[in-house]
Amino acid sequence: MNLLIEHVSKRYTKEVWGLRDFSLPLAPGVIGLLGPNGAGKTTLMRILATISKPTEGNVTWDGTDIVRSPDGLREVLGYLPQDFGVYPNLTPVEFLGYIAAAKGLDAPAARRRIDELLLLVNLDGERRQRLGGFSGGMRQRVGIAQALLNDPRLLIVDEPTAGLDPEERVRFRNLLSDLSGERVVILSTHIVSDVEAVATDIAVIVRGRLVAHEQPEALLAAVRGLVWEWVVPSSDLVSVRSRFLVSGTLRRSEGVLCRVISAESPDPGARSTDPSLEDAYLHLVSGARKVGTT
Amino acid sequence: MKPLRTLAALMKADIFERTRRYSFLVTIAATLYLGYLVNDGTISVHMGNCQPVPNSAWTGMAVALCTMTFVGLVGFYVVKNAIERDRETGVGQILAGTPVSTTLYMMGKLLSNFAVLATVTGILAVAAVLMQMFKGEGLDIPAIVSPFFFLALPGMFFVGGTALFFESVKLLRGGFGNILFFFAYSALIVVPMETGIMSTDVFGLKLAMDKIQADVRVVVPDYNGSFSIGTGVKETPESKTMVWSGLQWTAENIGYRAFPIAYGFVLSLVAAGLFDRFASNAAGRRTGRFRKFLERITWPPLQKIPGWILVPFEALFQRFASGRILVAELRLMLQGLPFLWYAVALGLWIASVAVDPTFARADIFLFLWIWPVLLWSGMGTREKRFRTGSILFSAPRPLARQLPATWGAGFLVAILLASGILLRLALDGETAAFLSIIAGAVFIPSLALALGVWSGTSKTFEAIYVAFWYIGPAHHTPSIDFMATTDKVVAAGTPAAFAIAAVVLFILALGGRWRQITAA
Repeated sequence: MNLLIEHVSKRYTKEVWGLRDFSLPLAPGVIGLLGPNGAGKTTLMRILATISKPTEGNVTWDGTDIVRSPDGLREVLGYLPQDFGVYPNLTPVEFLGYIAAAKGLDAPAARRRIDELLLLVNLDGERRQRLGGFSGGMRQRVGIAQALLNDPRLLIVDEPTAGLDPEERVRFRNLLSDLSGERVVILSTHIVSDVEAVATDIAVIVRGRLVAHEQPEALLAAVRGLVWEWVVPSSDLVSVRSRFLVSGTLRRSEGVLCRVISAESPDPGARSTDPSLEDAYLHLVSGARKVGTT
Repeated sequence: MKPLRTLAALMKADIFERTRRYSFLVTIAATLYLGYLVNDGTISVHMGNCQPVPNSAWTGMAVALCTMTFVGLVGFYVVKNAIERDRETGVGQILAGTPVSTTLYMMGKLLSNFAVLATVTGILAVAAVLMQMFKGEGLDIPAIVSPFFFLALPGMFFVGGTALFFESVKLLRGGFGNILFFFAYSALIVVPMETGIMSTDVFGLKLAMDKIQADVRVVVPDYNGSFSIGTGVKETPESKTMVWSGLQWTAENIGYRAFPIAYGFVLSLVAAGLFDRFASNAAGRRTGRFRKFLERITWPPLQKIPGWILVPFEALFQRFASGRILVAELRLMLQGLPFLWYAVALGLWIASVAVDPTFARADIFLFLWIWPVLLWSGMGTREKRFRTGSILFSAPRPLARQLPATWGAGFLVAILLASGILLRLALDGETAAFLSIIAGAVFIPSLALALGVWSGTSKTFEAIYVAFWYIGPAHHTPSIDFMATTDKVVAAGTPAAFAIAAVVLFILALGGRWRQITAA
């Protein structure tokens, strides 16, 4: 079971590219796809979900080209788009039944699955209510359930925790971890903590290009010794921001605790600290942007 | 000055958003096609036994009248999405939180509606000038353009205001409003002709007709009084020619044309008063009772499920549309309908089996197949409207499975409603009539699906189907009576043509859906 993305580019207009020469081999596990807004994450997700075609390059699922023969992948695909809707006059059971039928699932199995999924996404109590009255988070949970209907081998979730409350967010992260056994899970987000919690591999996209594909430990190792913390007076904060890559600030009684990423010590009073994945991500994105502008 | 700047900004943004959409290109293409039809005489003004010389005054007036007649109707459906677009894109939510007054917002939309319709009118005015240049009957540009300016543009302003009014009234916002406008438009043409009240002549047809007919009578004393705008009417062989000098734009005549402008403004102001300022977005689609219910209840705490493990299963897939997806599509189509809908449908069905068979087939049947128009009009558009496309199109074999099921649901609705008539025809052994109605039942969902998939909006089917239904079955016009309401239709071979059209339309729908799936 593998998904191979080879030299994929997606061109929208003459000047605008969604992806540029993007290659990535994917094996079972959870891959966290990180990148700033507009980096090309959703473009990639849509290509992998067979609803968009690459301008160049190939994508194969177990050796089959998904552009030429998309149905093989579609049978084992679960896809939660970033922006999706529901039919407001249907109940969750009816909507999931409809999607199950559209996926061609066997009726008795689909019925059992829907019951199981409604419990899983904590909507069993609302199974008879119409979706039109659901909050954004509840709709998102319906979206998660539909993606899991066919017990997918490839699960693509684009910004899945958007709109979920903290409790549901943790719940969904746990679900993704448990699902990842014998399937490929692609989690696209710009929330680093979501990826940190569940991803076995991380890919970082900047301006349509892959800038890193590593295990979280390797990304962290790359910024070890580069993260510094020290307290600065509030009035100096603007100056610090202009000179260094600031990954965090914390208000203290004596000033502001600054966390910066720098090859050298930024201040005699600064002390080196353990890096977080967010530091590693910011370092990568910042570096990629500098390369892109020079 | 600030309100004016805001108004200009609102109007400008709306015009940019509209004109940069694919649908605007379609509108321009349709306008050019209309210009072509008017130019080659397919659509024209017919004066019975009088044939005006195609000088500048006549060409300008004839094209302006055709513009009013066709663009006045179609234009309503084209611009009736100014508020809907803000609602769907979510921009309305942002605007609602700004200090922009509802009246100013509505005026911006009115001017934007007018700008779109004026563009279409302007294109046809240019087409009229070009036509006249090639005819060699003398070119007098003011004579050509003045009917567009004084006659057509005020009418377009009225249409723009009416569209806003319909968008602001919840009941008229959807398909019901689209259908109602078709009949309201017919009434707006007939009422001034029948009553002679000039203030009701919003499209200026009576103003033009009275002047033209009076001038014709001077030159052609035996003029038969015929005056029609449309297709397929030929001049009688004994037609006499006349040179028409045009309509003088006196203060009185211009004053008459101020009425539609005033009505357009008033309708927009009323619309501003009725407009909910996107409040219905914030509450989603919750109705009052359900909202209260939601407010009362507290959500249950997280249910603990040990291990979070989903039971793996080997999914079994069906290759083509199955009974389940057909039932699901049918449910989707019927879900949320009020009890009244079923009550009326049942009443009509009972009438169709209880009354005289000829009357049932010619009259009751008409209502049976206009009643579900809003169900059919959703076909092929729901995936865009409710943003479920990415989920459905990434399911296996969407063309073989979901699209035929959607069609099947529409077909079933048609058959169920016509079942009383079909049963009687079957019992009477009228096989040809029976099959003719089946052909109609095949045609309707194919038309709905093709128009829905390609246009992405339910309005297209609602406007075209109702016009088709009105001109064809309601008037028992054999060549376009897809319902086969009389035996003349069967004899004319019309059902076979509609069956073929249904196949072509279904293929078009498949092509459109394939484009939706693969074009991204």
